[in-house]
Amino acid sequence: MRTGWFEDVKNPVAGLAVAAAVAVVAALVAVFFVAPREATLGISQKIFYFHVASAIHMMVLFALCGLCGLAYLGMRGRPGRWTAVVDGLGVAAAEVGVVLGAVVLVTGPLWARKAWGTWWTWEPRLTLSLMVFLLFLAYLALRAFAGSDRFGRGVASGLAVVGLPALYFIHFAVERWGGAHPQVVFKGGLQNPDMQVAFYASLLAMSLVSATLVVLRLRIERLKGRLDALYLALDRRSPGA
Amino acid sequence: MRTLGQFVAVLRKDLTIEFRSRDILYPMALFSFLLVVVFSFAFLSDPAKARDYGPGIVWVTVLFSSTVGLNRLFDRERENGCLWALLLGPVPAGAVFAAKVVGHLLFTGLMEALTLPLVLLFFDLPVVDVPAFLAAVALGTVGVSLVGTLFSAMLMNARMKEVLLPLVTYPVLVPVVIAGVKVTALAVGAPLAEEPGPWLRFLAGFDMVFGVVTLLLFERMVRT
Amino acid sequence: MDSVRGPGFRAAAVIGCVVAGLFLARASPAQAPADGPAAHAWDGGWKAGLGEEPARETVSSEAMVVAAYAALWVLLLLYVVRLSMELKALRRDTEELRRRLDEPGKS
Repeated sequence: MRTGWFEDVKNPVAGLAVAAAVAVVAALVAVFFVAPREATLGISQKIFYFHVASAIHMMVLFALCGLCGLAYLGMRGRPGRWTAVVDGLGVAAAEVGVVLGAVVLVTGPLWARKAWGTWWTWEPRLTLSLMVFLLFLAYLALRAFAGSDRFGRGVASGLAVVGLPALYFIHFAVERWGGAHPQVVFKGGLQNPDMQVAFYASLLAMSLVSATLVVLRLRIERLKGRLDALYLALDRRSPGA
Repeated sequence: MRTLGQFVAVLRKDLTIEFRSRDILYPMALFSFLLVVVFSFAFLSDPAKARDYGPGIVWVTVLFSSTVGLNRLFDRERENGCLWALLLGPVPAGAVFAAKVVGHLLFTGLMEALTLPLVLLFFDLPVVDVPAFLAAVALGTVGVSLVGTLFSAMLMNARMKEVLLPLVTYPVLVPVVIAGVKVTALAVGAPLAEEPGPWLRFLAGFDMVFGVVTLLLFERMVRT
Repeated sequence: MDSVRGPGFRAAAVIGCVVAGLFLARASPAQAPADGPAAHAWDGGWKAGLGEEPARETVSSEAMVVAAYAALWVLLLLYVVRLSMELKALRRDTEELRRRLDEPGKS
C-alpha cells in the first residue's frame, strides 16, 4: 500500500505531549506561585487563567473547524489525501473544542459565583461560549447521525461554514441583548506583570494541550480510514465472507 | 432574465402542488394553532405579566411551526429523486434555492397571518408600533426560511432529519430570535430604553449575509 | 446569477452583500444606557459587581479553585482516556484484519 506523509507519520504525538506536559506544569507554577493574590477577588481569581485560555482556544478551534469545512466544500468532497486531512482536522477541532467548551462552562460558573455572586448570568461572553459549545455539539451530532459518508461530511462542513457568520451575529445580538455595554477582557485587569506571565504561560500550555489532542484525534481518523481500506480489501478478496 | 423565469417556474410548480395537496400548510397551521393554545394554558396564569413573555411566545411559535414546514419542504423532491432531475436540467441551482426559500416564506407567512393575531389576542398584547412589529416578523421569517431551507435541503436524505434539522438550525437562528423578541417587546410597549431601529437593521444584515452564504453553500452542495 | 455580466460581477455582488450586511448588523448609534439595576448586573470587567454587592457565598474560594482545576484536568483526562481506548480498538482491528488478509491470500 502506497502511503504518503499523512498516513506515514510515525508518532508526532509523543513530542507534543511532552512539551504540553512541561508547559502545563510551568503554567501551574506560574499561576499558583508566581502570580500574586488578587486584591479584591482573592484566590478565586486563579481560576481566571486557565478558564480564559480554554475559552480562547475553543474559539480558535471553532474558526479552524469552519475553515476546514470551507476547504472541504472547496474540494467538493472529492476523495483524496487533502480532503481526508481537511475533513479529519475539522472533526478533531470540533471534538477538542467541545472538551474545551465543557471546561469553560464548568470553570466559568465557579468563578462567576465568586466574582459576580451568581452561578450564571446571561453575560455576553458567557452566552457566546455557550452558543459555540452548542454549535460544536450540533456539528458532532451531524457527523454521528447524518452518516459518515461524503454526504454526511458535506452537511457537517456546511454547518461549520454557516457557523462562522452565525457567531458574528450571535456575538452582536447577545452583546446588545442586556442593553449593557461590555468592555474588553483586560480592561482594568492584569496590570501586574507577574499575572501577565501566568496568563501567557497558561495560554501557551492550553495551546500545546489542544494541539496534542487535535493531532491525536487526527491519527485516530487516519487509522479509521486505513481500517476502512482494509475492510474493502478483505471484501474484494473474499466477497462471500 | 432567464433565471428569473426559471425561478418563477419552479416556484409556481411548488405552489401548485401545495395548493392541491396542502400537505405543508395544513400541518403547519394546525400545529402552530395548537402550540398557541398549549402556551396559553402553560403561561396564562397572570394576565398582567403577559407582556413579559408574549413576545417570546410569538417567536417560539414562528420558529417551531416553520420547522414543521421545513421538515416537509424537500420530501416531494426526494421521493422520486426529483431534486436531482430538476438540477440536471438547465436551471441554475440558485434559482431552485430561491424558489424553495420563497415558497417556504409564503407558507410560513400564511401560517403567521393566521396564528400571530391569535397570540396577540390570547395574551392581550396591544401592538403599539405596528410597522416595527410587521418588519420584525417579515425580516425574521426571511432569516428562518433562508437557514432552514439550506439545511432542509442538505439533510434531505439523512436518517434522522426530523431531529437533526432543529438541532442544527436553532443555534444559528438564535440572533433572529433575540432581535425578534426585542423588537416585538418594544412594539407592544415594553418599557425598555431602546429603539427598534438598530435591531431591525441587525435583522436586515442577518438576512443579507445569510442570503448570500446559504445560496453559495446550496450551489456548492449540489455540485458536491 | 446572470451569465451576461460574468463572474466578476457575481463575486463583487457577493462580497458587497456580505460586507454591507455585516456592517448593517453592527452599526448602531450609541444607545441610551439602560437605567435600572439590570443594566449594572455586570459591566464586563472581571471584577464587576464586587463593589456594590459582595459575593454572598459560603463555599470558600479555595474550594472553588480546587473544583475548577479538578474539573479541568478530569475533563481533559476523560477525553484522553476515550481517545486512547479508541486508538487501541482501532489498532486491534487493524491487526486482526491484516492477519485475515494475509492468510487466505497464501492458501
